[in-house]
Amino acid sequence: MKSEFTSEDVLNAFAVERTHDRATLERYLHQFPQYAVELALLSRELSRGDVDTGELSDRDRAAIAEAWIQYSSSPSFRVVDIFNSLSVPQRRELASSLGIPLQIVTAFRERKVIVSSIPRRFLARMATALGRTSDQVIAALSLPLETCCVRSHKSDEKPLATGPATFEKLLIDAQVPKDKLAELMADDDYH
Amino acid sequence: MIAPLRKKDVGGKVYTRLPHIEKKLKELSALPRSQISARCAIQDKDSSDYLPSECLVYLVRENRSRSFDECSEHLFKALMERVMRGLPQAVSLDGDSERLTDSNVRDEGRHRFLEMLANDRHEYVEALDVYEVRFQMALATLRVDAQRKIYRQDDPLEGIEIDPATGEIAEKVERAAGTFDPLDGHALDDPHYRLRLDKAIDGLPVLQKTIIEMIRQGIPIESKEIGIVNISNSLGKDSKTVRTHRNMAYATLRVALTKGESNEV
Repeated sequence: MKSEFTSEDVLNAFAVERTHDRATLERYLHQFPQYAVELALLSRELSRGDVDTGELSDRDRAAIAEAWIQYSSSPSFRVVDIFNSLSVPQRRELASSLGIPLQIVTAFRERKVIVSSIPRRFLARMATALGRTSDQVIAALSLPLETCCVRSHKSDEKPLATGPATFEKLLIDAQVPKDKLAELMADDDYH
Repeated sequence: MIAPLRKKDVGGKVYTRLPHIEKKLKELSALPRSQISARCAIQDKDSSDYLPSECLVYLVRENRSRSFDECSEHLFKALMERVMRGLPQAVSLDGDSERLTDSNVRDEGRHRFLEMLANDRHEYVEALDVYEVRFQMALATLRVDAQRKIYRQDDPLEGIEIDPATGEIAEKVERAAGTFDPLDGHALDDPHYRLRLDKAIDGLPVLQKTIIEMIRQGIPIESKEIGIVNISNSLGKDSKTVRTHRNMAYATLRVALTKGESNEV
């Protein structure tokens, strides 16, 4: 139990405690003795209250300007067209693991879903199934249509409406039963 | 929708923003970016248009994978200014010379925060979540991280170990410290004294600083009762060694705090 947390985990937890009195410090020292020095140093830092060193120097402002150049030129995550790279068996497997009809996965592939209408819980499940982060899945679903490969083969799936639709509408059009639909739309964990 | 945080605390619970921050973020998400951009310049914390630092962190991160605009730059710079204001100033008590260690801690803190923000652009950095919960508290952890990194280079924790047989060093520092107690309750009520004391403690080696903080919190140096947290056990140091380092710290603080006065105690 004690070794599974990093110094950062423990210090963060201590930092957001309501109070930083002796009892709180003792509790953390008892639970995480390996971070005794860090905890004492943090206890001291927290006793200072809100720190505001006031006006910044010209040197500070130059450092911030430099930081912006570095930040704005740092690579953002590479958006991968996750759905287009899936083979047909992989798409079937994804649909099966998520409990949705295959045509919904196809709709994702063809950008026919309004991304903001997808419940975050479902997004998180899909990200896990794809071995990606939710951000990467959202980015892939937000790719412009022209960058993805539009279906050119003969499809054995029932076609869905052409324009982007909400996730719920896609499920309804795909005749997903009501109870299943409610389950897929549930987003309770995130409120 | 305001994206939920992902980092879990040591109890396995996902961190959540404070309700007033969530509320503010919902209000801000309805505003045009030009208005948010204008608000970045407001520094009066009492203004209703002031952007809390927790919101600044969210807004910078929310925009991290999109094309940057003028607002992105204003948000980023406003956030970095708040970070810089929360890092130690590289000026000594006399206000003349720059303290190299503080200067290094300030640079290290800035670099560390920038690195997290830059990494967050391509892979979600959970460590930044805490800055959306309690920015000032998270900054305190940033200062500690930076201090630990800098002090490891030029002030290893392994200080002087005392020879229990002779106790030679122990006696010397005990004499130097005298009966001086920098944590005396009455003196601590004076804000000017507190400020000078804080600055003086900042200059102590890590081990002494750690001991002083534990004493300030009321933790005993040693305890005969099993299971009671004490300084000796927590630091894995003999109680005599702890006392000697405490006395060394007191002696240093005595000099720093009584500069210009008679050292007769």
